[in-house]
Amino acid sequence: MRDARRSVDVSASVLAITLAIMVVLVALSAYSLSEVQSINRRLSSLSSSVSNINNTIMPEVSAKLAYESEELGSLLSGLNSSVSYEVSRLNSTIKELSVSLRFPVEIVDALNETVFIPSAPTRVVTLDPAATEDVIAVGAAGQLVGIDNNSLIYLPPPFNYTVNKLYENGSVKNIGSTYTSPSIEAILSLRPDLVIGTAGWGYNNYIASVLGQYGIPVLLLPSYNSLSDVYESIIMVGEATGHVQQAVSTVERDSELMASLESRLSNYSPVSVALVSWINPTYVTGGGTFQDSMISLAGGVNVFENSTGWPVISAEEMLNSNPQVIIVMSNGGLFNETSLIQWLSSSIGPAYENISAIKYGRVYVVEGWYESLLSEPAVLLPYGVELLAEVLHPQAFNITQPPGVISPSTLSLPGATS
Amino acid sequence: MKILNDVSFEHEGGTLVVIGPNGSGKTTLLRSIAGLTRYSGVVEIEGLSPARYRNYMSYVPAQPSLDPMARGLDIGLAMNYRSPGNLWRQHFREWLATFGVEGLTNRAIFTMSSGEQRLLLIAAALSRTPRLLLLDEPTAFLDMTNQAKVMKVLAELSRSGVTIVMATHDLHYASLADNVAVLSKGRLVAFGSPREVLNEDLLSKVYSVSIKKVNDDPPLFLPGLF
Amino acid sequence: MKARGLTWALLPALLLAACLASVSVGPFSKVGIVQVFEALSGRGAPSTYLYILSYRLMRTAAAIVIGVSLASAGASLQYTLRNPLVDPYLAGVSSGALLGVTLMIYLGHTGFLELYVAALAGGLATLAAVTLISLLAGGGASTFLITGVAASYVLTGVTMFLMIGLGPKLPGALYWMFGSVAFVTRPLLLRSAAVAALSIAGIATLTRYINTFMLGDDVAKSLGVRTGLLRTTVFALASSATSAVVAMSGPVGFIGLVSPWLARRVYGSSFSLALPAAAMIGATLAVASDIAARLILYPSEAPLTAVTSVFGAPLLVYILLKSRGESPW
Repeated sequence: MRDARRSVDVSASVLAITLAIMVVLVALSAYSLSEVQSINRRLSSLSSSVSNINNTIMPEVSAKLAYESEELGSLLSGLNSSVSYEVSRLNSTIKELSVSLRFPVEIVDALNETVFIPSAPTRVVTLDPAATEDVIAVGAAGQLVGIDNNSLIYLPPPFNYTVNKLYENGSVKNIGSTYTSPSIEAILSLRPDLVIGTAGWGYNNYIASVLGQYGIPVLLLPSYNSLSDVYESIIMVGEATGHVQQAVSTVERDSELMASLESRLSNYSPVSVALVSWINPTYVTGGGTFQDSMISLAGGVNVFENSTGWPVISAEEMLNSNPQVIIVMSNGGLFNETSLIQWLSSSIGPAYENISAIKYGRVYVVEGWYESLLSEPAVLLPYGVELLAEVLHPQAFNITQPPGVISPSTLSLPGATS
Repeated sequence: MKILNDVSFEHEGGTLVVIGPNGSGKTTLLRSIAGLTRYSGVVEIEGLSPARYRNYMSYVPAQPSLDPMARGLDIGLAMNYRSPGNLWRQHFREWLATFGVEGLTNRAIFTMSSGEQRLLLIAAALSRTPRLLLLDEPTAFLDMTNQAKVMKVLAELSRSGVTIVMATHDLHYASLADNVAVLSKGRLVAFGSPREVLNEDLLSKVYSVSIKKVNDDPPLFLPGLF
Repeated sequence: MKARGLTWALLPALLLAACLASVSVGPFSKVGIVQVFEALSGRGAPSTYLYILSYRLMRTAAAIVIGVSLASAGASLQYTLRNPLVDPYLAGVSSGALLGVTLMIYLGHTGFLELYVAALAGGLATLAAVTLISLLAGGGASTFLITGVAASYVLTGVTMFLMIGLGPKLPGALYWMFGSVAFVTRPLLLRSAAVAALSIAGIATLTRYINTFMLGDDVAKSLGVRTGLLRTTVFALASSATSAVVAMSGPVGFIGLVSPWLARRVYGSSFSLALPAAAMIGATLAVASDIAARLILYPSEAPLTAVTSVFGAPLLVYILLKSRGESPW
């Protein structure tokens, strides 16, 4: 019977059909993609030919600015004391910049990609709370059209008021959480002309590469690693949205706060600290992170600074490193001092009582939007440093004893809720 | 591991039956001819080595491991993977019809009895129109009817010029062969026509059991029950 | 089974329907087949539609590549090893790819292209190592399987060590593991599709020889088929196709296991029939899973592997129960 041979022929043709369908689809998508890209190209060449900018000045100015802020940041991180001199140097440099930055702008982002922004963006989408905070702080909130889910939930005041207001009157849409799984379609449907996110956070890097295909500029901020990166990020956001002056003044204000903190703490010797972000498995802050910078600036020494990133530690390691202060992030009320002690005692038994922080009652749990202060590498970072300083050196702030639970209702932060 | 020692013979067409107790090396001998086992020495079939003679010979092992989900027709297809066209199909069906099992083409292996599987495999082997047929225990699992059918087919093939080499436990068929090879513990103990080779003494020694000739024409040997 | 003739027409139709659905369905809709024609006819759909349409087409194409590759790889391995439990990841390629990706993220290189290269390199290196070791150890089918399983475990273990040190970068690695077509970019898709297509074409040319495996090693060898070499070649081709797909979208499970199963149920034992059938089934499953992944957790996306497993496994069980006694497995 011809059955088998015919079916071999049929099978070959069926395979061919499948491949043909695939080819057609890829061709269609390639065609539409090239359409999209050509539209973008026309738009960008149009706007760059319209604006008449002296392009040589701008890179120089922005480079100078970035250099100054980085110098400032690294100086502060290293706790050198001629801070006030540097602050005034920055001030005079900025005063020299009488021209405010205009477009087009080219910024080298955290992944060493050159991001080209042809004109002032009017439809900005942010991918994580740190980016949203930066955008609002530099005054670009009116340009926002999309924010991620976590920005709606986790921002500290006054940013959360701004964000809620924008969301409620519909000018800003929720694009889903980039930490769990974002919706590219949601971002695309907003037709953004600039997308900002923190590099390496959640899916941001993947999002950047997909959106890059459509010619949408994606700016990834380097803010995870240290305080100077945070300052650099703020200035990058300012550049990208056309609010350089406000970015600079934000950085200025932050660095002034840092300067005053530094002088207040100059007579106190550093205190050893462990900053715990999750219990069992227990994650602590290690070296080379923005939280590590914060600890140093607050007059502390991170007992785990020799491990980079956010390592998992065992109870023995906690015992051996013997911090004088342990700060626990409650993660929305999930953890408290009891959870810490339970974890310790179940591993090492009553030996945990020898840990200095336990012995002298210096275990603190952070709750409420103070958690965001300590975990978002953005504009309000210096207030986080202030919070840590109040906990580590209460005497410097005329506080007799910091409360066991640190929350907005139990500990005040001057200047934080402006 | 060396199984065969010092085996040497020449067979010129017709049927060769290889007999011997278990473990005497019958299967190894067949596999050597089929080119499936390494051997030291020379195997020549019509002047060619087994590897070059592949297209002209078919091998049916004693315990084939056929894919249980395969269909009968697919087995035939696989056996004939080299030959283009559909000539083999016709042959295959004819052989199946001769064995009376045409229905096997559409059934899956796992639904067949061992005997049916064996018939299927033999039919597939024959559909290649080989010049040399190597069969290891072809009558195992077959009832008398099917045994008779198979042997009849083999006899016809032999007459029409196909060389058949068959390993078997059944002394009955040995007496119908053109040549008989007797293996014992890896050695070729006797080779020649059945009349020369098959006698009570040799067989009793080889099989370690007393064997009597109970009929002369056709010669029939049976193990004694005492 | 009686459905055979009908199924040949049914399969492509199903696939086409799935593709159409994939392009039209989604919360940001009003984008669909109508818009495709509008755009092509030059009437110019509003450009939002164009963006989203293009994005959906890319995803659908990626899903088809994944489905076809994994199903073909799985089919060739199941037929070669005559074992229904075999899936395309048996050589440990997905563990190797995951290790490559995790290592890259650990070292701070999180660019998408870098991750792709790392995943591809990891997968292929694992394949090479497993092949080499199993050849040295004798080269039989079971040797390969055991070596692949051992490699999987070792690599996954090392990956876990690395993951602990990742901190906030952990989600990047973890979510890569979940599998997704959401972030496929065109150059990567083309690269992976090319590698996969070449590998599958290679397998297709070996169809005649793969068919002889059903006769058993002895008979196949007597026919002149070099079974050891053939097995190794099929492993290599199937695993390289799998590597290409895993590098593009992370490991997507279950499709490579169940598509050959389904194809075999309907088409029996002939590999030449089962291969294209499995490919079409795989493509349809992948596209359907992607649609489900987009809709279930709106506005977030469900991991693709989760969808294929959670919906696929009951489907398999259902088919098993329905066809009790029709198979020795």
